[in-house]
Amino acid sequence: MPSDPRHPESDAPGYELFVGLLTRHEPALRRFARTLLPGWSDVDEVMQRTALAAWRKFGQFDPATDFLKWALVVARYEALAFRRAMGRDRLVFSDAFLERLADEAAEDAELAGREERALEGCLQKLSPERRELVMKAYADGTDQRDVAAAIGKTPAAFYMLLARIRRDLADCIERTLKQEALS
Amino acid sequence: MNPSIEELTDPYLRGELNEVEIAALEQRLSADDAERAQFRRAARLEANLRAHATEQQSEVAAWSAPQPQVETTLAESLRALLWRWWAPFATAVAVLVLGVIFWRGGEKPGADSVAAVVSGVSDPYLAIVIDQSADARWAGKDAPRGLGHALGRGRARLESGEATLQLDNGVELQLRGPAELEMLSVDHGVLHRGQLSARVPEGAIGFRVDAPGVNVVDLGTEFSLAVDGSGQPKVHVFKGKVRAALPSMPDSRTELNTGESARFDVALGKVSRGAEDPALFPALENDALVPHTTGDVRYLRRAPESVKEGTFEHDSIMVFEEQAEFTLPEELQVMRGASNQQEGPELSVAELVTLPAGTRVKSYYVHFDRVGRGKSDVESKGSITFDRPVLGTVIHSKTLMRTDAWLARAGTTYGGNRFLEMRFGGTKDHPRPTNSSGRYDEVHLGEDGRTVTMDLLTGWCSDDFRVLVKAE
Repeated sequence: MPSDPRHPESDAPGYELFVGLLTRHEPALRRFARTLLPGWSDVDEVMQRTALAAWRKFGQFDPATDFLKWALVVARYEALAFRRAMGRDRLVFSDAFLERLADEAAEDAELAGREERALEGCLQKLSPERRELVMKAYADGTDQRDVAAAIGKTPAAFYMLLARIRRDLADCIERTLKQEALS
Repeated sequence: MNPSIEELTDPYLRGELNEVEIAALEQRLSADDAERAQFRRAARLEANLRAHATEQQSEVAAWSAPQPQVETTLAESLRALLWRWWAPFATAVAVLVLGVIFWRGGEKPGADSVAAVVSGVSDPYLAIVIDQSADARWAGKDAPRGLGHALGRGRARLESGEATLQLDNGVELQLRGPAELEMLSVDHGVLHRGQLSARVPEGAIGFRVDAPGVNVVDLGTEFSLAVDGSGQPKVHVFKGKVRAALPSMPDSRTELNTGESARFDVALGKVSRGAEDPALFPALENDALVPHTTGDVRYLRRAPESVKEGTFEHDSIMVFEEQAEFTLPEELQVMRGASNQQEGPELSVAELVTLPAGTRVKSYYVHFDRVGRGKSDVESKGSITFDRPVLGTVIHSKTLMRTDAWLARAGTTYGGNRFLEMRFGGTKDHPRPTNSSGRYDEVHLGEDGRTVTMDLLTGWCSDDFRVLVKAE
């Protein structure tokens, strides 16, 4: 496997393994961070800090253990540290409550993966118009108010529409998981 | 009135709550486990939707590039995978991806092979043709063109012959031409003319087929519907129960049980119960002998003409029987045993088994060649359960080629250049290779010894392997 001269860390022992593991578990880490932080820009920032911190600490990771559990601990620390560093304590939950949420979100990790897979099928069950709308609304870098304006709706009306679609998707995901449990 | 938890969660996730509102939300979530679970679920859904939307965004960008270069496609793939937060690692990951591509022998040809794509339905397809008779002739712009072809929403005419369709919900339809079938959704079709038999699995109960003037709703069964020019559609129940009615006549609602038939006179609004000749209806194949599939796996009752890369593309994983019985002339090493599910590529260990010369095997071929080129990987997964014990799988490319000489089906063209990327886990010396998303293809043998589950990703080449089961 060729190495990249511009990034000497790619030659470091375990680098390929780290990249593979982090790529594989990125969705779970992102869901976890999303639960703890309001707003996508904060989530993106914490994900970047988590990736860097996890690489620096990777030497401490025991490959015989669960990488996701280990990375969730890193992400949790980074989320709390970010919040403090940015002085946003007053605009997010309290430390104690965030710790509690983090505990529960970490326990949800396996369920969250099944929900992600079920969502694929549930999106296909939406009408093409609703599916396109929800995909536009959640695309990276999109301001939902712009999407609302583009289809001639006020932001409030658009948020209500999105909420209805999400409710349908959540119901569908729940049904799918129940069916899977029965089969 | 207190707002619902959803009404508070949504603006919180958009970062729009003020200090007082956040404190109120926290107080409420702290006091109620169920509302807290709902909050976490909403956050997970948000994250999952963004992941899907961004992935789709990336794929559209990759497709819309006039002449996608490898670097461009990689950049798009990486963007979908890593988004903005992984800039410090992106270049190094690109190196890994390139390594995989080189190992697989480079990018597949694009434009030429697209012409041979078999499942060209732009809308999400609802069904595929898993079998058809030699005299089957399809017509109509929405019709499938043959074995393995997809059927989306719209009308398809089967001018002659018989064909078997499998819907995404597992419903199997046997169609006898001349027939015209219109699929409105995976749960609802209209037989405008011709004869149709349906086998509806438990998970799809409620499947509905209409005939002109008649609605037939499945209540868990195998049933048939015949529509000729007489204006009197006929319904017959092979097994189970259906509810049929003339929608214009609410009192006409009739339940039919095993062995019962009815004729619906649409003009007179009259229902005549009685025995119709079962020979009128196409017979369903005995499903006890057919491997049962789940998820994206489709079992073809008839082998395709070619599984050469780029000639039989589909977003489903196709399986077909190759040899009903073959005696191994020499010993053969196969893989079996479930790999564990732990993290890390080096932790799963394959169990290699040698089948001695003289072992009688029945072989099935698994082929997954996704539609199109140049996008990020497509994942398909599911399982297939055979009616007899699985002896092992032939996954290693050299062994696959070697066994072609014994097991390849006459009349089917196989690719000469297959790049395998699947393992039963892998070993410490030979870890499972990753694909461009950093994930692994997975093939497992279930504890029942008859079920093979698979989770495959393809992007640059097809995935192929054989499953050998015990012969009679």
